Amino acid sequence: MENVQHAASTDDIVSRVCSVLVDMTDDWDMDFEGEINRDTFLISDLAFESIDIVQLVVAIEGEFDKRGIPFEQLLMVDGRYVDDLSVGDIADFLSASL
Amino acid sequence: MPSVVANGAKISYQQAGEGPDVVLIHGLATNRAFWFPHPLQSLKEHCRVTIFDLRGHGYSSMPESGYTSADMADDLAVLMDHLSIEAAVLVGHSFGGVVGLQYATRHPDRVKGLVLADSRVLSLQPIQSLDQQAELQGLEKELISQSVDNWQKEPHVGMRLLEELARHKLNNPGQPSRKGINPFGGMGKGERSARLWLKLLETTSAREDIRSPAGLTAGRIKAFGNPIALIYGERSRCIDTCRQMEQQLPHSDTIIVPGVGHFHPIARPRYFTNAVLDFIERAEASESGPGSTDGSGASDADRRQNSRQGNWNGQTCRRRRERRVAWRKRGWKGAERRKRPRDPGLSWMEKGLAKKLRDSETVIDNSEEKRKWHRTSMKT
Repeated sequence: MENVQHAASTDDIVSRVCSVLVDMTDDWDMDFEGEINRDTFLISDLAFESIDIVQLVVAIEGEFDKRGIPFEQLLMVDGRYVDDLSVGDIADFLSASL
Repeated sequence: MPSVVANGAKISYQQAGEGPDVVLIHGLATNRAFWFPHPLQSLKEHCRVTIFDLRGHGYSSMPESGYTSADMADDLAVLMDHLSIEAAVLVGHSFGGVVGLQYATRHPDRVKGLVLADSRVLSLQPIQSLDQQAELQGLEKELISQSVDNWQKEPHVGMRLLEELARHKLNNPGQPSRKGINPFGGMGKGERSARLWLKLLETTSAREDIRSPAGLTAGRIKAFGNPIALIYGERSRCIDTCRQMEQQLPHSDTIIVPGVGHFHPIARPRYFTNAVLDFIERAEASESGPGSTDGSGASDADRRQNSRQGNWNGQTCRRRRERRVAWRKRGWKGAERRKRPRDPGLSWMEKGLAKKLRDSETVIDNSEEKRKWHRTSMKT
């Protein structure tokens, strides 16, 4: 029962993160034509750059109405940005952090 | 998403942490992500940190005009009012430092301290030429060698290189950014940032505005009495500004970051963050005014000498002493001297004599061989 609830909440998080990403990339000129889902990667699919990641952090904090989520644990390894992130990675991280 | 309209431009910002206010101001062609990986993550443990995108950069809007350092200082004033920041330590890299200096000289009561990280102030360093740097880096060398222009006559070489780097980025899509020197690096390909920078230069008054001193004269700088730190890369093209600032502001503290250039906050992030944290601590603790920034009673000359030697304002040495005293109180008896075990073999004199003997035997042997060779050759 607990696992089912957890899966449901993760699905909800995925859907809310996707919605944030759709808003952000609405007016971008990019090659990606599919639908943003759990398997979409921020850099290789959506051509995110550092500033977009930083803006996404702000947008997610606004969406979930929570400040100070430790995104650095997800975004950085040894003081440098990770190579890429999927929507699923973000949802799993949020599921554990919220 | 958090933003404020300042003098006709939408300024995007974000805040992190709790505590005394610190505002970080990025330089040209970058954005607030410049600060995100290292300085922000460390500073937010101690302070409330505000980062924002200058107009025409990042997620801020790009109006047609208003890109002088004074205009951007006005934007900063609106942002600080909007966020109810009464007074803050300002930390600016490159052009961001000039914006901070503009603000600080106009509103000294709202600036507890200012960190200039590799900023070039036009009134102090009107010409920035190619030979004002120890050596060019890899990609810069390539760009200059491929160019047909005479780079020796370029008076704003840093800005010109930023433009060429952006063009190179767009002409070579998909290539990873080279470490350390490129503002269009970090996460992702950086092509959108490069495009944005070129759009700013080509469609707005930014190119001319950025090259204007905008009233920031040597006289105005000289009158600035608040705590100020100058953190410059050893190989920076802006080092002339650093030296001029030292003369204008004898109470300033200088740190030269060894072995790096203009983008030293990226190249040596821990070094930079530690220096900034140390400065914030002192700026928060001090009353404003030259000569009273650390309460140590040290003269300006002593403090400058200390900072040149890497002893941040003499404070590092004092802290080490304090730490030693604290540890001793807890029972630490100091590092035990390790006794060198006595060599059970020959003494140094005996060793020397033995070596001499060996050498002389070799000489004798050689001489004997030579005599034999001579005798043989004479017979033949």
